[in-house]
Amino acid sequence: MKRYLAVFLGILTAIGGFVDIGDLVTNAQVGARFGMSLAWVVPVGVLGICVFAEMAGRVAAVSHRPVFDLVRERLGPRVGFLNLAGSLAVTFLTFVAEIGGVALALQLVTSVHHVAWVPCVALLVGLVLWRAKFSAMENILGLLGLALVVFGIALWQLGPDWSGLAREAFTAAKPAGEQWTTYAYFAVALFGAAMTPYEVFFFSSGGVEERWTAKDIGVMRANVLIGFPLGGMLSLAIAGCAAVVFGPLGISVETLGQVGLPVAVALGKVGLAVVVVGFVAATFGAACETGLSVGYALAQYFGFQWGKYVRAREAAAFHVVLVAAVLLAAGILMTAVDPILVTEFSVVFSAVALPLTYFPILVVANDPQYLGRHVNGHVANVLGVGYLVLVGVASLAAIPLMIVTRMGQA
Amino acid sequence: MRGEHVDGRRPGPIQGWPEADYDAALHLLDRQVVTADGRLVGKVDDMELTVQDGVLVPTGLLVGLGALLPRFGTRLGPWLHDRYRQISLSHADRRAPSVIDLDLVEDIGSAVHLTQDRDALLRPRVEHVIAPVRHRLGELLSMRVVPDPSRRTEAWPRRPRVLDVRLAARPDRPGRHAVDALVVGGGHPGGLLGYDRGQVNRPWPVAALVGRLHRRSVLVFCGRGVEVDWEVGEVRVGEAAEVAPLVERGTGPGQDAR
Repeated sequence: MKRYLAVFLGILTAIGGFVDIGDLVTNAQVGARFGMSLAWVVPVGVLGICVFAEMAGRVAAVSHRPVFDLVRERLGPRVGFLNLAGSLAVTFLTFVAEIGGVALALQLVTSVHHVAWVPCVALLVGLVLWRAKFSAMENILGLLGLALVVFGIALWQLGPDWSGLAREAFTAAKPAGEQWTTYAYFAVALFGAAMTPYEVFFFSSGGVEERWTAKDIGVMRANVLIGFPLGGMLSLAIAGCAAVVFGPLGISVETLGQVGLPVAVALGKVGLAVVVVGFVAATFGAACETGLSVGYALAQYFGFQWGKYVRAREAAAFHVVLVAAVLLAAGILMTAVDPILVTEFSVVFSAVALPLTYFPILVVANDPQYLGRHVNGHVANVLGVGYLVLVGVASLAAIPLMIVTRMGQA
Repeated sequence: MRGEHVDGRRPGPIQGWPEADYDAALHLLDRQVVTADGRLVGKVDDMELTVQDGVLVPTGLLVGLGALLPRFGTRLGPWLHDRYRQISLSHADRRAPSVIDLDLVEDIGSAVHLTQDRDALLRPRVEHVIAPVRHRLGELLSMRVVPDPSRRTEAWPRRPRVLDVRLAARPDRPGRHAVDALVVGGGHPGGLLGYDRGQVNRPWPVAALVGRLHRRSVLVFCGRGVEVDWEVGEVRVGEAAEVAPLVERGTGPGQDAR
């Protein structure tokens, strides 16, 4: 019974922890502008993150090696370092966006400017990263993140033309006034939002922290293969709400308030209260995950002690990196840079950086000397190679599309 | 986590260490070093090779930036290492990196496990007045290989370089290894993925592509006809040297023949 409860809790936290500031903003923007015509990208991205996370989780469970250990082993110190620099930059950018997202969510409730909230949020994130137990942090924030289910209820309450939404989703019909390049740019952004690399750094390092073994592969798979797709449904609900409320009016989404507005329209103040709780939990949880991922990546490349499974003083350098990352992120946000803009950059650069870590994991997941009989089967390899091509194409296309469409403005 | 077995085997690249042969770069370099109390102390940033009776013998794991930076390429590496030393000339470990004696290694799996705790573990080697000749594996890796003109008819890789070093268990000294052969290839990407040694062969498209890039890689056995010039940074392969294809019948070192 206890084991089933653990699986259930794992799935719930995977759902609640799936959505972050990138998913919130990008799905709402795309929903408002393209209706459900880009909805197909979400399942493609979700299946991709399932394939990636399942491989990384399996490698972590069997060989006890997290992502960046393998990156350096398989690519050598020089290419591994370039890989580290790219992945670290994207993860840090996402970290900045998440802290900014918490501050924006608090601004919604208090009307105090988000820049004033940044030091408080940063301090709180720093304290949690320093003091909190790994499982407590993951479970509490993941469960609170489930408040975002309110988007699904709101969509139902809004009473949309379901057949119209389904037709848009299945025909993937580009709205008449939009360019194909803009359509492709937002497809890449949605893909990057669903397949953010830090999710896998955090997932595999978490597996090592929680001392997974080969016996835990079943539970890990349940979390990934049930939790992530259900989390993806939240993303679709966010896009659906924006499509119903903003689409007909031609309004574009530029603030976090607008992301939550459809819920307020459908469910009133109660809905708004719940959605703000969801925003804070999702972005705060993701801030902790991205912050830890910055420390994980650096420590795993250089080999110094990392993790929350040891006391802070035993992993002093790791904790110094966490504090430095929090201070730097707070400093950047204090310049009053728009967190939504940072988010837009972070999802696109996530797509750019994805192959850097995806490829070494795919190779090691096929190495019988690491995984024994737990190497990739045929299905994992067909999907693995398919997604290798896909993440490669998305990575190469992301920056040209960003320039050509002026970040989707064209 | 040490001692956990998968399918009756330890997770990791070298089955049966220290009796098994292995490739230093593929199986040992850049791996995590874990102390007896389960703490992480660093990576195998480089490997110390000592000349004993005319043979190159691995004697220690080098740890720290002083060992890592020179491996960043033939030009960038020394430049970075110089800058690193200049930051604090008083620190000896910036010139001579910390070394973990190979005798302290208990096991090599997916990480390198030591028999000792981490307190004051890392320190540069203190040499006696008459010190043995020591080299770094990193110096040997990426040295260019110059085949004798008489061997030009063989299918050598274009611009051949040392990619890896095969370490063979010494029958005369159980548990000890010596450099047996050099893995020589064209320096294409993917040399540490394991496809060129027959260690991994899936997924097929990746295996085929990387395998094709490294199809001309060879093993050059150390001994007669092979001269390593550490000053110039090149390996000369004479007429008498023994050269063999890198992979035969799909098995490589560090693999069980299942």
